Amino acid sequence: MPKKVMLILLMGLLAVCDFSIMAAHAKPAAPVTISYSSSDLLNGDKQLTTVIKFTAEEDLLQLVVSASPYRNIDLLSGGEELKFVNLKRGESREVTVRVQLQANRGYLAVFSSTTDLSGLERNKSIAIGYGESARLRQLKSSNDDSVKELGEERLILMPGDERK
Amino acid sequence: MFFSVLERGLICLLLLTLVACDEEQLRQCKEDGIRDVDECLARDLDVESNAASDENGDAESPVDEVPADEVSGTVTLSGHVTYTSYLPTSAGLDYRSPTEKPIRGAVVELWDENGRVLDSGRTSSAGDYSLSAPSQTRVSVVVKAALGAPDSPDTKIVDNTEQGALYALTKEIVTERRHLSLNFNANSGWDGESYSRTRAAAPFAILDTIYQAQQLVKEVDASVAFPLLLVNWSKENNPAPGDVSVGDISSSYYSAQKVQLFILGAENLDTDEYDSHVIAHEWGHYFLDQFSRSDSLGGSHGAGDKLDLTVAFSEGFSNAFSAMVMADSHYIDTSSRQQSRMAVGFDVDENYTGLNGFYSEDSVQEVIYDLYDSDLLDDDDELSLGFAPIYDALLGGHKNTRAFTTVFSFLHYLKLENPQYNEAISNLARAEYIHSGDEYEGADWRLYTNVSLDGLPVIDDSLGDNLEVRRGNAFGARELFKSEAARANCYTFTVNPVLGGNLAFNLPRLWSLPFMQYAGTINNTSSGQESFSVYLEEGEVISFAVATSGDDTVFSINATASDSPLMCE
Repeated sequence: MPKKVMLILLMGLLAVCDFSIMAAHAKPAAPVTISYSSSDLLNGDKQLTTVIKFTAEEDLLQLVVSASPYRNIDLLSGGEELKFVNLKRGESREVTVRVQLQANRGYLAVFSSTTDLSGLERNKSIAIGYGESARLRQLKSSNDDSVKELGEERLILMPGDERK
Repeated sequence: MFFSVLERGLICLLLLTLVACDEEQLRQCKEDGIRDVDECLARDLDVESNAASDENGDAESPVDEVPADEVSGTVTLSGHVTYTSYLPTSAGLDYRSPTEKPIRGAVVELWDENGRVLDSGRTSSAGDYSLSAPSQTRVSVVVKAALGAPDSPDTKIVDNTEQGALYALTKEIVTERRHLSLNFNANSGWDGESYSRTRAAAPFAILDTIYQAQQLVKEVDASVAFPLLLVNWSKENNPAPGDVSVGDISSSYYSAQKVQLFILGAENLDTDEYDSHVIAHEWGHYFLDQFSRSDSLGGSHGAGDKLDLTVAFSEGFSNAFSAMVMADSHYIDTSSRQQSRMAVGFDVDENYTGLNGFYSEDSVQEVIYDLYDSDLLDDDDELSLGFAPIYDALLGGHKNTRAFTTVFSFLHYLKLENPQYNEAISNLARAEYIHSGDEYEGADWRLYTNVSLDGLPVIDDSLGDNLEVRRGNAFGARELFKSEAARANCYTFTVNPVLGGNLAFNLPRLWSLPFMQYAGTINNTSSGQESFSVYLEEGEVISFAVATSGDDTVFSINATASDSPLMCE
């Protein structure tokens, strides 16, 4: 297929996606959007840098952010807590972190705490996943002996604790 | 057949006793706060069968002395099942004060050693169960994290990282030649520092909030049937976007496409199983979607956001609904390390943001909660309608409105169905700057632009604001239009970009047209121009919205009677 046609198809697909991504009805959240971009693998040690962008959804007196390893990951730099003050709605602040994966799939935790003009504090935590989720899925489904298949039903049997 | 005077007297006495018993049962249930009639009767039966063990509270109760049925060789195995619960507070989950709450309305089965079901039922509203078991046999009592009929539950708490396996709590016992009592608890797995053991309580904590939500609905509609809802929870469910089958679910949310909830369970990041208002909020979305109608775009949102009208209504309703279900207006969502912080907390009954209006979920939630609440719930207004009129409006006119579903359509039909409260409802809404009008908009702020069906184009909307890209569910990210057919015909609506931007139509979910994607979106070209055709009866109205993915877009819309009625087939 010619590249031009493929490009048009891809753009069309992106345009379609652009209007249909919001099917999920999420819980109320703190007034900050956290987005991020991952770089390519830096070397064979699975090191990556990520720029994490915090965008104020409303005027904020204060924004405190931090990152820490969550699972199967080392945080090589960028883990210190940072405080930003007096952000206008739509303003962004960026933090760069460098991580190293310890397994095929790892997670970095990102925390943010906002204080709005009324003094109200709200918090938002997200995770950034690195690596392959397919491998994780394979590993997980192979060894959990609490899962029983009975007819068409799969059950996770959890032991009850006896009470008098 | 004729009865003697004595026989008739005896029959009358028997009937009177039965009626009196039922009334007494219902009165007692009401006093105990049990709302559902079925639940009430089931509870009373359970109370009767377990009366002896309840009074004595241990396995040596007199009920144990009853011998097995000599003919069938069966005994009754009964007991009480609970789960460990923690209260969400402004300082996070309160692990210092665990409580063991009853597992209510859950499917319970008795299995033999091969997993074959010997008997089944449901736990009562007090968490009691009673099953028939063969005597002198090794069996397991299995409490499934499921509500509804044992053979076809309406709610299941499943693990999305284990191919949708259903959570169940189990306890093994060898029966004897007498009736037995077996009580057991689903533990939380919390050891004081972390979740180091199986988190068995979590699915049942979620289940119990949904049980309470169902009770609120059953209280006003005893014959209600709940469409199947799968609730996906896992300790792997974390706030990263990606593959839900490994737990990357982004946030707790309701998916209308799948009719499923996804609930966070990531320790030290964000867990929601004990955040009952969060669960009830998400169930509120399921309720709107499955029982009423929601045209909401969904997406991220929070207090103080100026939202698309459909989103503000859906989120505001769900916040208010969570407070109704929990009989507590203080919404709390915990998160962070050791679940020690309050991520979001607010009083549904008080809009503290200073942002008032139809685009504010804070305003919508306060209005709806004020319509509902009573003096028992620190009522600060003159109305106490309860849930019934809200339910009726949502399932009545609001569900079938030709407008997008917003606070305007809800209040319009609520007032139509409750004219005696017309002024009080209007006053309540006006206090949040939501002014009376019709089902489309308030009289003070025209939100829809009329498009005539004679082919005359409308350039953008007559307010003169260009359509700009904003966060997709923000107020002003799309423009609203409506047309009324003067005569029955097939009509074609076309939108053309005059300046910049790809465009899309959104239609209320009332419509199901060819090429329509999920949530009523029509966006079939990347050139910007879009069109759709629809057959309208004389006097029929259609609403639609136009959204853009470009910067600062100007567009024209026209609608024409189609020369080819086939366009509408």
